[in-house]
Amino acid sequence: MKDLIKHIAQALVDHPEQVSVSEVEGNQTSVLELKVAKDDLGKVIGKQGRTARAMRTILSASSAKIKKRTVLEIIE
Amino acid sequence: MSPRLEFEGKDVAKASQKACEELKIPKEKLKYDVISYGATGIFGLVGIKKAKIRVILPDLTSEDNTEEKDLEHNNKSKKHVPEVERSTEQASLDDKAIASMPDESVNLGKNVLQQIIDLITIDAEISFEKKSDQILFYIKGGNVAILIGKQGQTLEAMQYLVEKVVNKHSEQRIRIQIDVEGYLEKKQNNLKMLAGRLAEKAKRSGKPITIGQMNSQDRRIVHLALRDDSGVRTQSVGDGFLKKLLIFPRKKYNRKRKT
Repeated sequence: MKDLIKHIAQALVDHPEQVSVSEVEGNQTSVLELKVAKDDLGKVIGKQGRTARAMRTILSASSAKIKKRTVLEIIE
Repeated sequence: MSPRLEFEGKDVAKASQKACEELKIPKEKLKYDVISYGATGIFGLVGIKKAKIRVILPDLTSEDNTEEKDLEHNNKSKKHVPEVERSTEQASLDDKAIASMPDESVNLGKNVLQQIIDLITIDAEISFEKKSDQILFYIKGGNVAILIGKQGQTLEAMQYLVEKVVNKHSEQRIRIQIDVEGYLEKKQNNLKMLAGRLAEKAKRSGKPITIGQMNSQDRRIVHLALRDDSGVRTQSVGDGFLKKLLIFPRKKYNRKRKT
């Protein structure tokens, strides 16, 4: 899951080398923290948060399979 | 007597421009009479009339010459701007556009989509189809319910992300559509039926009816479904990518005056 978010984010931004994703796992929920270059923040969030929302939707669909919740945080 | 052709447009300038494009005549050489100037109506909504011009074609021999010249010129300059026309040389241009659509885009899209799908479900297969500016992905197998999501939201998210990724690496704009086992078609039919039903309701009650929160593709389907219905008109309102769609009943006297 971590790799997927990293891959998608890298494909969207101008500075793919500055993309990093870290995962904080809990019992039921795991939190994915996505860090990108400052210029690219808007690209991973999207107009009215549309890109961020799409990524979260896909995360929740994929975590339904393993019966867990995944939260995506985009860190400034 | 030289042949004449009629062209319509928003105003005379637009109409003459259209004539130039279609006949491939430079603007200075175009001879035309104005039949009607057209009117923009009130707020561009009510009583729009198109401008009409009648183009007088120059005698055929000279026209043939200019056309040939223009064709050569077109082939050189127009390659990257495929237009929607039904002439043969235009069709071949379209073919070129399909061929020139980089395979990298398709592969890139397919890879991203495959990654997403593999994470969501197992045993799903992707096939694709290329159209002039569009790639259609078909997903088969796997857990269809999760792939589509609540009201198709997962499907939409995948479509949006793949489109973003592909267009980031492509010069020309490519539209992506993803279909999971006929879901798209089913949804389209449902929307058309809903549109028809609500249009009837609007006509009966004489009041506008709202369909809430739709994305652009869904709105387009409704607009197109009700385009030929003379009893109603449709309009999108709101901000952002999710907008409301209003269906207005047309006033009765308006309709009578027209027919």
